[in-house]
Amino acid sequence: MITVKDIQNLAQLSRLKVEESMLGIFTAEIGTILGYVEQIQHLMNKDGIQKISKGTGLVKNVMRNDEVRNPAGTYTKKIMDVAPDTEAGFIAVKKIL
Amino acid sequence: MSLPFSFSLGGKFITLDTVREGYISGSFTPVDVTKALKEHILSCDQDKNGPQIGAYLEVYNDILEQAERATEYIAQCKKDGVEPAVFAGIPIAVKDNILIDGKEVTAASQALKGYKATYDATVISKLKEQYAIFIGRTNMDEFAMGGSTENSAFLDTKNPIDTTRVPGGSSGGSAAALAMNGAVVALGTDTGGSVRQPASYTGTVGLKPTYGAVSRHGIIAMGSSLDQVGPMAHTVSDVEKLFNAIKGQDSFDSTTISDDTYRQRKLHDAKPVIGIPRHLLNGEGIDPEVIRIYNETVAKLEKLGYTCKDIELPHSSYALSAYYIVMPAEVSSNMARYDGVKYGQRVEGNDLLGEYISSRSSGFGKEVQRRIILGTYVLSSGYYDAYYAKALYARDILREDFEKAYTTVDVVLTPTAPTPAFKLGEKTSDPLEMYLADIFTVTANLTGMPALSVPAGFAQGVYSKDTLNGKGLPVGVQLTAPHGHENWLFSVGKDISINDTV
Repeated sequence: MITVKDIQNLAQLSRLKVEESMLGIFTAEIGTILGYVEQIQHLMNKDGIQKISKGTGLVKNVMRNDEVRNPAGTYTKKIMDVAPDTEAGFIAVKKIL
Repeated sequence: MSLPFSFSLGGKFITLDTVREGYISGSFTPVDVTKALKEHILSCDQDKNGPQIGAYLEVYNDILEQAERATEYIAQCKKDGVEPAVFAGIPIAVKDNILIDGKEVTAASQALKGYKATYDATVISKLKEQYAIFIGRTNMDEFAMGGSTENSAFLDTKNPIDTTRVPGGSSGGSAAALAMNGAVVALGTDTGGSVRQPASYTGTVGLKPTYGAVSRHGIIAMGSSLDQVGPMAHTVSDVEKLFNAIKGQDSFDSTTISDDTYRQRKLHDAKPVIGIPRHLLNGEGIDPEVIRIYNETVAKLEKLGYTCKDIELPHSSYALSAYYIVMPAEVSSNMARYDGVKYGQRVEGNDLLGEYISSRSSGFGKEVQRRIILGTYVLSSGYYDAYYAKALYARDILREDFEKAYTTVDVVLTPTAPTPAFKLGEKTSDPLEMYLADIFTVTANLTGMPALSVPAGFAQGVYSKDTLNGKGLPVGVQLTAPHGHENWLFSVGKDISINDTV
């Protein structure tokens, strides 16, 4: 059974903070959803062996030439314009060290 | 010039051919159509005394310029004696998770409020080449997570057929825009039914193409092994035209397929043979009106000379579980990019980690957070084999079930959704209840097969009350075909659709 502590830990791993008032609700809701999807564990093949996916057989590497498609700087202004904070032509973030 | 038709709520649907014929004959221009349409949208969506459907989050401020360019292009085509492109001057509603260069795009999330796209999605550039008119961006569930459009951070969208009900979701804004006659065609996206379920709820047509048929370059991702862009319209015929305009391999999306990725199959009969998985209708929670309309559709097809055969899809009961494992897993990964650093909302925190957490927690709504946490759980060490690995195996088995059915039938007919549109607020407090509405649609995303929702009738009785024109609530049926066989869906769909037959 998933606990409030699990939810807090998972939230931390996902870079989220769940409000105090929502913790109990999330725990109950996610518990219900897991209770439903758990039926997947009954899925076995004819011999009662749990198998792993063999995939579609369609997955392959898709290559393209490593070439420049647009002159340098084409998108720079647009991209910098949507950044939350910039400084001297760089995206600014909180200091790391 | 005055138009020989009007865009009105509850009036006759305006289809692509109606508009195109007028452009070609010269009786009106894209500018005339766009002006009339804009006025109608504002009266439906924003007028305080109107129905306030809330289909659009924004009507673009340059629609008249777009219409003028289309008008000039059509005039030039006439001068040159060539046919204008199919979508020349055709007004299109665009879901708010599809990028148009320079336009705001938010996926209906606070996290992206004010974000302006820096390039065109491939589907948009293809339609721009045809001089289509992008009217505006439509409301949706935040990051396409939901089945009612109630998870939008900005507003609820009402179902134009009955304004006390939801339009479905997540492409609910696009479906409502069509149903209120506020667009000729629309673009949505479908990860687990987000195009087909709203189409069913609003009496419109929606296609989830074969995985990889349409490029996702410039689409805000949710579940990358499931997502497809889906064309929506009043008729199957218009959905087919829109699909043909946007499909095709794209070097910007390495998951796109070519014409020879899947082998071309032969029909089992002169007309496609229809597979009837009758055992799926015995499940709990399927509305008797949905079953009635399904049975009437089968009878209609038989009368038209189709062979309908009972089939078994023995593992279908695992589809929803597999979906609600795979999808949140992919959501938790795709949502990681919203860190408030490069774009989107940044909320002050004590340090870099604190800033990630504050930006994400205030940017994402509850459903998005719920799915991220669920996805993180099913992928965590110790649970991966019990959930995610099993779900991948379920996808294989589901595909095999369908392949086995395709040895005797060509397409499979099911309901699109277990009920007609539900009431606003009815399921918001119970996420699992909301997920159960996806029971028929998720399978096509898990298998990658194309599926089409077609309006087949109206739920009557208790559902007729307060509906537009008193007809009842629309109900769609869903057709699923083998990979790469959208053409079979269109040919059968046209025979079923109550909008295609005059």
